[in-house]
Amino acid sequence: MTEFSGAMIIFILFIFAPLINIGILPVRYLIAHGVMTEIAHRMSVCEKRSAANQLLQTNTWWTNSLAACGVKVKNPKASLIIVDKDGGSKSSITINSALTADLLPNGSRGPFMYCVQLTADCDISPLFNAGAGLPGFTSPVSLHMSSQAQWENLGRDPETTFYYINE
Amino acid sequence: MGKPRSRPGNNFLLHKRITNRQWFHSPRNKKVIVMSRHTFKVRAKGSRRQSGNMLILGSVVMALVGLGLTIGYSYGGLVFTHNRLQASADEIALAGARKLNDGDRIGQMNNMIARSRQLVYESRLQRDKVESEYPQLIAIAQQLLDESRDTAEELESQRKHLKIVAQNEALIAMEKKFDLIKGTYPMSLPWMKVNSPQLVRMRLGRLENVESNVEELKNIAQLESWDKQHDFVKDSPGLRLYRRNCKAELPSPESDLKFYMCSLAPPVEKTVSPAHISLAKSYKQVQEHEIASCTQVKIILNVATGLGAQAQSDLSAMSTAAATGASPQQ
Repeated sequence: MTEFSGAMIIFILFIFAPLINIGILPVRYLIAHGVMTEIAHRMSVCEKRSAANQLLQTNTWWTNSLAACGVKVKNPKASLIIVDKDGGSKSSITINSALTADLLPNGSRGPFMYCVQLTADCDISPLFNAGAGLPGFTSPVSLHMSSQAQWENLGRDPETTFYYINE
Repeated sequence: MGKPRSRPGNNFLLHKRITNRQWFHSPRNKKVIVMSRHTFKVRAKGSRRQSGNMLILGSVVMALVGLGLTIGYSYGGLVFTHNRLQASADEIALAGARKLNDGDRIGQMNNMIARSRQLVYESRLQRDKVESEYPQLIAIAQQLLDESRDTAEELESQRKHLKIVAQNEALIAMEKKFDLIKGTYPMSLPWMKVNSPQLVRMRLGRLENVESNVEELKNIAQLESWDKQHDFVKDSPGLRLYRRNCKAELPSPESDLKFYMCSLAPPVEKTVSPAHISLAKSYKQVQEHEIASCTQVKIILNVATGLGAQAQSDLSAMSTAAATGASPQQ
């Protein structure tokens, strides 16, 4: 019986727990990816870009809900990806900086496709988190995750005559 | 002591026979123990039983890992399906929104209403002027006024007709798009079963904070003053647009005429606002006589995961889309 207990402990510690720990990671990754996709989509359908930025800054439900699922979100950042009509050139600006005239929908290099890109460093914890040790087995795995959604409102604000994407 | 003989299937080594007792050497404890042949058999049997436990435990672990993988696949499938459902909802809402202002019919109607209103006001001014200054021409002036009034009434009737046509066509477009999409959903995988989606809501409304597409007409100073006084035009540093859905009535005796202009994104510096998805919270209901300029759909999808018959639920996705904005007037 003593031998069996020892084997059992070794089995649980070195086979069972790591298997469960590594098995839960893809599930948590999918949860994190799903939530980030949802946030990126919500940002992309905002009327103005400032509203999209505000949505990211003020809405903490997604980071809180991910924390409850064992995913710690650090440094969430949003940017605007601008791709030209041929897909040849791609540029990126932070969500709160203005687009230059040549990058606007009626710009000289246009037309463009605009995408909101949300990136974050995510620490995905295993089910039994020892806090240190082998990432994925006993400690969180750090991943740089990103999600994109196409910017929807390409109209102009009649009050200011600026493009909504640049407000 | 002779050379030890090993016993297959246990950890004991037989060393020496002494009458009915035997000497055994346990490699783990590194000591020699003495036990009867019967005890030796029982211990050996116990050792085999432990090996069976490990087999059971191994099976349980494999089952748990299998369950974990099923959960993982199921959840991954749910995430993928929900994203797809949202994209479908967006597509359906956009199909309806594009149809609403097909060929800029709503934008043109708003523009015609604004111009008709101006014409009625101008005709009344002319008639009053003719009555006092050229009474011999009063019949012509009255005829012009009557014609402009008839045009305004006819336009109001056409506006009501357009409301029905545009909204019906938008609803049909959304249903058609849904019919095209719904057949692509059903699938049955070991870890997930997806049924056909259901279109549970199709609404037509407007977006908040969007006035009409018509800029204030500036030819008649009195009318401008009247509109400002009654707040028919939105005061803005950019475009001064007629407010949506206000009756925009004229001074008496033309106050019986109705001039409703519906909400629609205006062209700004010749840029037409394309149909686009918007936040659900910006959707507002329209009044009964108002032409809609945005759509909202909600679709649900029954999904069962591979975790048993009870593990099924409805995924839902909602989407709001704004109609294509008005085109610049020629």
